[in-house]
Amino acid sequence: MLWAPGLLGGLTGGVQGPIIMQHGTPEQKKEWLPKIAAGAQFALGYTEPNAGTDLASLQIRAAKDGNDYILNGQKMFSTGAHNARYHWLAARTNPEMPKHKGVSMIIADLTAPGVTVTKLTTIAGDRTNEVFYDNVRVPQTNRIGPEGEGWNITRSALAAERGDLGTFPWPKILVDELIQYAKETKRNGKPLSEDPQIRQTLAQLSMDVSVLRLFGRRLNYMIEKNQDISWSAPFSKIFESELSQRIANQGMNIMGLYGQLEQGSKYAKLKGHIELAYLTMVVRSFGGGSNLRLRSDIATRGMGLPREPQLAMPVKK
Amino acid sequence: MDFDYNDEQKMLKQGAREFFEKECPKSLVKQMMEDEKGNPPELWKKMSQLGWLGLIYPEKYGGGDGNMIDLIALEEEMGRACLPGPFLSTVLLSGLFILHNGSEEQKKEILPKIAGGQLILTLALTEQSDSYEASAVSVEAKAEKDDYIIDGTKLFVPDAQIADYIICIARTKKGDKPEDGLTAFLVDRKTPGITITLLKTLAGDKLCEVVFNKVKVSKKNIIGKLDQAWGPLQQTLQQVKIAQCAEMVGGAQRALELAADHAKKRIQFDRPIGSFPVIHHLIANAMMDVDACKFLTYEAAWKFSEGMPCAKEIAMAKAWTGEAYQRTAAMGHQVLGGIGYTLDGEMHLYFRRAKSGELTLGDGKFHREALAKELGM
Repeated sequence: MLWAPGLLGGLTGGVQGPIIMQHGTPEQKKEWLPKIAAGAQFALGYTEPNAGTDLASLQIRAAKDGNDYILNGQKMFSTGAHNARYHWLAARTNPEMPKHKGVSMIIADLTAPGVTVTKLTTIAGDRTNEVFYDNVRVPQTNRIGPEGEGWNITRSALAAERGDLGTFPWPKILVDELIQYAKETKRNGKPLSEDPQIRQTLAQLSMDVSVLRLFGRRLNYMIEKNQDISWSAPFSKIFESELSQRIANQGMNIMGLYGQLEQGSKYAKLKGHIELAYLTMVVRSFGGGSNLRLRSDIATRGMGLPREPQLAMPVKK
Repeated sequence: MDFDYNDEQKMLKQGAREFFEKECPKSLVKQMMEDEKGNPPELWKKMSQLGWLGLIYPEKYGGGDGNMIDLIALEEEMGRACLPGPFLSTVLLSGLFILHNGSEEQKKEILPKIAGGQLILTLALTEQSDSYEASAVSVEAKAEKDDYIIDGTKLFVPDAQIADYIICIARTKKGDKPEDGLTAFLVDRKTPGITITLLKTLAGDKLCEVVFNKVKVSKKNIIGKLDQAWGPLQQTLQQVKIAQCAEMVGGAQRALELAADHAKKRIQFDRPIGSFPVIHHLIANAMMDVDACKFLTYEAAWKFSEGMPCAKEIAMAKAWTGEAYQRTAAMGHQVLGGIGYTLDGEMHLYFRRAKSGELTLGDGKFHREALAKELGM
């Protein structure tokens, strides 16, 4: 997963604890939960160069060797891997099984011999990483859940992550800042807030923020009532990410030439938030699941539309 | 705020759905679009018997003591059914204005008859100036002994062609502000000097030109206070907008369902077109759009029924719902293609009503401006 810290904040151990509680053995709970409680940092290791939206085609190999697995392969966009001690890995334990069934969830030590973490820099200036595994030895006791169950565990972790996205505070903060800016800033002798088009834009964005809030609250309501949220959970994720991008883009237009000034620059307004958001928010419409794919999930699960048929002749990789 | 109706409201909604499916088929809707009266009397009578015409009024005026949430549950089904007739003009615009502003005598005289289906009323506000602002009201009413003489033309007046009474908003005084000096008169439609011309409209709903040519009305027929109708009228319009939003929610939901149903059944390129991701995207966008309509409307209705300030919420609901309903029905036409373009289909009913609903009582631009004011801009 691609996560930019800075404006967004990174994911910490938020998803690991609950999953170990649910799927771990008593020994694993005893080993890992105190570490997590003490602040052990995990980086997520799902995405690979050829496994993005089609995550189940991930290739990193975990081959059995005695009581260990030997890991070989590469993870991409592993934010925080250069600081974290552990890697929350989805790895292929059985290449003979269909692609969804041969994956297991494994905790690797990022300081082990054979692990190389290299830097990738995002357009927003944040660091993420590639992580290479070259014959890295991991005890099989580090596998969370049964072998081959990694896909289901990953999906439930992703769902938790997407629910988290609904509580993202920045859209409201940025719109409130822009409204304040429009009231206080004059152009051609008149406050921006008297410009009819700017009034329309900010009113619309403010409505959008309300819709985001209502989507989030409805999701909580459905969870409380034990209703199926598989189709409604992505509403918040899709709506928030695209709203964040609209706010940044339209905020730039409202701020005019000042919009392009970075945090720390002379003359920068609103602490450079809008400029930073313009770049940072790009990630949100594909990080944590591509909105393009999630829309298909919504339509098929929520409205009963048929899935896209699988290709009879898969394209050779 | 709950994101669902309570059990009683669910029963009301389900009962209304079954009732309208039986009593208000789309063939009747289409027939009423051509019909000059536009209100099937049997249907109106049955709705009265079910208590729906008085649902929102207090029991002592022949009503059902319902709250706004009850009303919007019913309105959603009316929107789904594309219900023709004067519910909005009679029960809501006129009835609620009288309920909130009328004298005890006026309320006792009129409201039970609206609830009983014996009286049709409408409210004449807009004029050729095409605006919901107070400054747009130019029809004048001049005092003459115990009467007022109303002169001028009202336009886009719903259901005036069948109304027994018209509540006419007229200028009785030229004040400092356009909001001052407006008065509401209850006018018998048969009063000499009134000429009504039915307009031909997109949605086949009945909008009229109402010409007042020296129409004499007794001072006793003033509803509320002389010169001070504007504020109370806005309060009524706010309440009516919530109901109107719920009606549009019901219509938009149905337009979405029709599009999805078609996408599942229509085979092209040897597969249901609903399996193409491009159709998934259209449907997913519409699902989010319609849910946004619902929750904004529910929140406005809930705050209103709790007596909380809700000007922001109503502005948001009306701005979003009008535009989203139109987007949804237009999407429906894209998915249905040629078969949706024939008069035999149903999508066009929603496509027409979406636009008229968006324009009526203020469009998106109007309500975004209202919201901007509420946000202190």
